Amino acid sequence: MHDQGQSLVPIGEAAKRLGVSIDTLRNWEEKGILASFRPSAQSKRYYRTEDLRQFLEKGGQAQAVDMESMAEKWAFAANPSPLPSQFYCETSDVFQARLQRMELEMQRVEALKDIFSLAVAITGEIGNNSYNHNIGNWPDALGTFFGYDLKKRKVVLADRGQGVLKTLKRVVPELNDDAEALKVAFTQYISGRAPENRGNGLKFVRDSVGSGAFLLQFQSGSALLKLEGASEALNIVKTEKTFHGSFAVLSF
Amino acid sequence: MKIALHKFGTTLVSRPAGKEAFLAFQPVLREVPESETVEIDFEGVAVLTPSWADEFITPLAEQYRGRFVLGPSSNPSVLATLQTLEKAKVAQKSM
Repeated sequence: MHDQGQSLVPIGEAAKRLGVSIDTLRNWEEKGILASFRPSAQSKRYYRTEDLRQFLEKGGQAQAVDMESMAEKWAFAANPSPLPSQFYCETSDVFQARLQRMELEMQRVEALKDIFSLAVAITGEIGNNSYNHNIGNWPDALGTFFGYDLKKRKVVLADRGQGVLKTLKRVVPELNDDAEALKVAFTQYISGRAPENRGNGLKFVRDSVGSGAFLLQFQSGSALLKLEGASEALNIVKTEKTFHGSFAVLSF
Repeated sequence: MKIALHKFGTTLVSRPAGKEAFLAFQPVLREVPESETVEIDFEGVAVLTPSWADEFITPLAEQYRGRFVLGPSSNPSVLATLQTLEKAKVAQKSM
């Protein structure tokens, strides 16, 4: 006889329990986020109730891991060790799937109900920027670090891409250093799409952080930007350590 | 015609997804009579970003200029995104 935790539910029931669509569950399985079970090769997909319970309880959040140190070490190291799979998003679609999972978990926390949409949107814009501007051009390791801890109210993102200065210089060639590049990226609306599709994601991030519920630290190269609440001025400082990618910590 | 965004998903975040939605919707748009208004309905959208909206809403606004309407929303990410698109439009005009 099966105990309660070992019993199986069909995909439709699993989707209902988690509050997501069947397509989302299929997507999560493909990305290794939540596995289903097939009693035989021809059988339909089932989910173990124990897996669903654990998913709801633990979520995709970091368990007793110092995400910030891990991400920073990975982003700044000359020869980085591979990241644990729970934080590593090699491609954009893995990042999207995990972002959706973060959204789902945030929606379940009463205290985060008012800010989850902006938190997910800010995270999405910063993370997607990494892929949009480095696709086919990553200097070494592909993809991003993406971790979150809803208890500590923190999201950590990092990449080993080319950094804001190098990618922005393609459309604003007169930029001189990392600090200038960050200032332009977070404040100026740039016209013209060629030679690369440059969006307004970081301007949106700045305005959204300015709504008051967030604090953002964003580093690229040797420039560190600190955005807090409705402060109009941009606080950008030069750091001793430099690297070629970007590293962001969003607190809420 | 009312375009219900939630039919493309409730988390509308990435640029490629916005582009794909726009292209996939073209056959439906071709059926819109010339006199008809095109309205974006944000009901049911949980998260929207400028990246997605720039690939879907911006070209639609251009395509249906003069008969393009944005529906109401109280979702913070929708409001912030629309504000960003508006600022970008103003900046574009001044350049």
